[in-house]
Amino acid sequence: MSETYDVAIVGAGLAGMSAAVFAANRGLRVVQVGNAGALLFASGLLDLLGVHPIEEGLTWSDPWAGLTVLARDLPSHPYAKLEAARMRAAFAELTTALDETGLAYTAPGERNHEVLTDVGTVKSTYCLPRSMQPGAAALAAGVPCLLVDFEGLREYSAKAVAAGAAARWPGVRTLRLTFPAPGISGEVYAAHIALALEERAARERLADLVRPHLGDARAVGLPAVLGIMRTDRAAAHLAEALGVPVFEVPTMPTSVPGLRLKNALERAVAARGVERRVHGRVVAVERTGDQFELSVAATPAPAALHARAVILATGRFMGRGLEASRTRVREPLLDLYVSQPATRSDWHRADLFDARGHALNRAGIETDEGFRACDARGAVVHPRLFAVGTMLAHHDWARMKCGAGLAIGTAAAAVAHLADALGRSRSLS
Amino acid sequence: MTPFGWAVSLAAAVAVGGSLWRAASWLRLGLPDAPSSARERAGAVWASLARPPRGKRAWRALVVLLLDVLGQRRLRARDPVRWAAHFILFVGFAGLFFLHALGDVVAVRLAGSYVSTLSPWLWLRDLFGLLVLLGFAMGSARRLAMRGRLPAPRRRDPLFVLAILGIVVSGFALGAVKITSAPAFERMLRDYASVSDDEAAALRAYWGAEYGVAFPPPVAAATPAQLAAGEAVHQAACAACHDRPQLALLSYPLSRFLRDIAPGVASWGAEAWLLRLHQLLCVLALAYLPFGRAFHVVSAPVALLAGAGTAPPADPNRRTRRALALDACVRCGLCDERCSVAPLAFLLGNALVLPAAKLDSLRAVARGRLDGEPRRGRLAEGAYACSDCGRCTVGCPLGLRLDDLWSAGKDVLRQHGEPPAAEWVKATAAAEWADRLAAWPRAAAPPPRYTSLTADRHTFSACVQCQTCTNVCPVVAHSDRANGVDATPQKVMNLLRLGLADLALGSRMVWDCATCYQCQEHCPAGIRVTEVLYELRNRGYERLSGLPRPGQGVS
Repeated sequence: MSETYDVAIVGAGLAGMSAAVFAANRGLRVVQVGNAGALLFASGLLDLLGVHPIEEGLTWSDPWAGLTVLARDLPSHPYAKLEAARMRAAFAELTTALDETGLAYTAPGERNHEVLTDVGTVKSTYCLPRSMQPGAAALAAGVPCLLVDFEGLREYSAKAVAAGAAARWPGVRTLRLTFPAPGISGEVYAAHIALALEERAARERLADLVRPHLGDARAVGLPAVLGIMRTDRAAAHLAEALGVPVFEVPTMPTSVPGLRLKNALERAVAARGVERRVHGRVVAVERTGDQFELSVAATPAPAALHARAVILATGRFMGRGLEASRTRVREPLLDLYVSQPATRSDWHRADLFDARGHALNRAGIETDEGFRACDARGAVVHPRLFAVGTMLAHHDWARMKCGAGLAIGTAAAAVAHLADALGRSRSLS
Repeated sequence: MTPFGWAVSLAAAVAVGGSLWRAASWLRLGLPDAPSSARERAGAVWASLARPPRGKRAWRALVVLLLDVLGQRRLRARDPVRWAAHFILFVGFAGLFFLHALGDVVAVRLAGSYVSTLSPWLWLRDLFGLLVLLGFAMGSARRLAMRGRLPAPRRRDPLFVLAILGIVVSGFALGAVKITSAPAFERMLRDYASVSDDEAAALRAYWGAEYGVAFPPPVAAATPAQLAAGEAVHQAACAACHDRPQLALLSYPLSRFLRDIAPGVASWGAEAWLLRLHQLLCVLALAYLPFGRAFHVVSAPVALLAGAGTAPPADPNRRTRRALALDACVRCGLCDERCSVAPLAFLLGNALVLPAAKLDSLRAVARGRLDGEPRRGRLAEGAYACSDCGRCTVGCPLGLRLDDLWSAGKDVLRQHGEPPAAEWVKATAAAEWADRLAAWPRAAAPPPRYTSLTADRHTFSACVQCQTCTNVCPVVAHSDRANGVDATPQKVMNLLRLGLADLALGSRMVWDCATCYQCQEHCPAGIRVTEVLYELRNRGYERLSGLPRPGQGVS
């Protein structure tokens, strides 16, 4: 008989990783199954709440005020089950864990930051990578700025950013460079530039190319390519070499900040002794007595895991946490109840870009106050079976800009309830 | 000189001459084909020998001689069972050689009036002989137990085995016959004892009763008085020199079986025949020394003492060391047992993947027989299947630098128009390979011999073309426009999705993949990207190697 873990976490996106960090911090023995590759689709920005109500496109510079309004307007939204103090603590705990691995984020505070995106729009987000913070400051001050991009890097155009931002930020100039490293020519990839920029010599060559074009610029923006493992050092060195603040503009998925987040969270859970089955995929979860048995399809051989509790963090359709057939949406692992429109014709509105969003986006798993999965009648399925993250019902994270907060907040709440259930309410600050 | 003396001298001359001829091959053979002459190489060897070893080098040579050559330390570390068998046989045979065969030359100096049949040495000769038989039995038992588990049959040298066994068995038989032989007793009595007829009769009675000499009938039962008298004569005339025959550990028990037929055996002159057979086998074995496996008693110590373990590229003796390694290999097969890619030998049905067989083939190459080598293509397949892990070198009990031999072998193959598959595949564009595949019916897909990820669309259907694999790929990161990959991993996955697997087979990405698994570790869709690329390489090798190469034209 194999070891029995306190909790098995299924999924390794932001919600699964956060749950793993929080559970390990509370002394639980954790096994986690899943490839963290889904994190590569993350922008690297940690949103709490950007927009509500989505019909009006109202953005919030004070997300906490927005949360209060949202909980009143949408009482079934998962945020309505979360206390603000717990959310704050969870963000602090996770960003501290990330800081320890060398990936620095701005401290969770009272207000959202406004950052320029790679299409020139301005986005409200809660915690942002330190490497992007000087950009938020420059945007707020509206200082003259030079945006740099690279020949052959298809996913990022400084001109497109400048054009999109022209109304809000007129003092922006652009510069296109051929990246000064051997072997990088023709079609180039952000991660390869980032890898090259881990080297001091490459940063110096880059600074030499940018310097003649600085002019009156009081900040220099680059696509998110300032290293993968030691971004802060790379950014600080480049800023010193140029004599002005240097910042990153978030780039589209799959982006380097997503890669950094994946690496950092993997290191964070590894440092906490979480047992990870990266190459496995949970294909069945069964209750055996007082435990759960998870069947893991893995090469070279399938395996079975035993745990006293399960946290499902398998995401929505892309992560295969939810599956859509012709007629209904189901949860494939345990066939949990999925709250959803009555018929398929109600899934979507006629207009894809309808500001009110689509009903299908709000389908998902129902839970009680402690994020324990519930059946159709609202009864808890099992006292130690939790569901967290975007797989939950009654939110539209992409439009509300609340994906990270949903992942981090619900993971923290589920772990807190789990620790209580297992008699481990010891809290680590 | 006696006829035996002449025969020994002749055999020794053949052995010395043959050994020199073989040693000369160390200066002649080369990998790759030697541009330097044998004279130059001899000069280089002489130059390094002429520097007398001092200090650390001398100490090291001494350690190698004692621990590696005599103690066979490397074999003991790698396979204690084989070492035990080999070491026991080695001690036994060396004992017989120096103390029995060369008794007049060697043992006499060590122990005064040594004669192997006289006190106190009789037991020692039989003990050595028994050790040889024991070592041989252990080796045979191990080989039987391992039958079918060794990767490939090794080249045998039955003459070498027959010579050793023949010498030892004929020696024991000779000993047994002599113990029972009445003529031998009479000869000894005549030559060494001056006794009266009565005393001789008493002595006969005593030796017949106590030591089993089979006197011809009629043999009267000995009286106690006769025996007492016989013992007195024995003590006075024999015991000082002659051991009790019972001390012949194996010959004496054997002689008990002969007792009843001994007079007949003696009358055929069996003793003389057996002596001649024993001597003949020794002479033949001596003459055969340089031509079979037995030569490892010379080449192995030379290889070990020459420090075959070190061969820096600038070493002027590098080619000589390689030739020596080719010659010194005893095909013990320990390298085969450790070979990292041994499973490929079974999968490809090609024994030349394995080090021992490959070394044999390289010996033919070193003799300039590559172009006539019928297994040339197989040799190339075996040579390039090697992953250069070096485990064979570490495992070699003679310390041969096998890795250096393999790299030399690959150089030769390249020189003779057999580059590794990655090179000839990449010399032609992927699209052209696809066209050739389509136009060349003989290359119709052979049934896959490997797991078939690429044939199962579920393998890659989840790909969302997110480019993560390409982003994290170090091969893409380090490829430039001129020599770069033509399709990134993500594009290869897309070719599979589009049903254009043939177009992927010849792509540089497939052949340049470093199998670092970064793509597979990062893939958000959980696609086994690396394994797919690797399988495509195998499939490409299977299918493209059936097509004409560039320069060979397409019909």
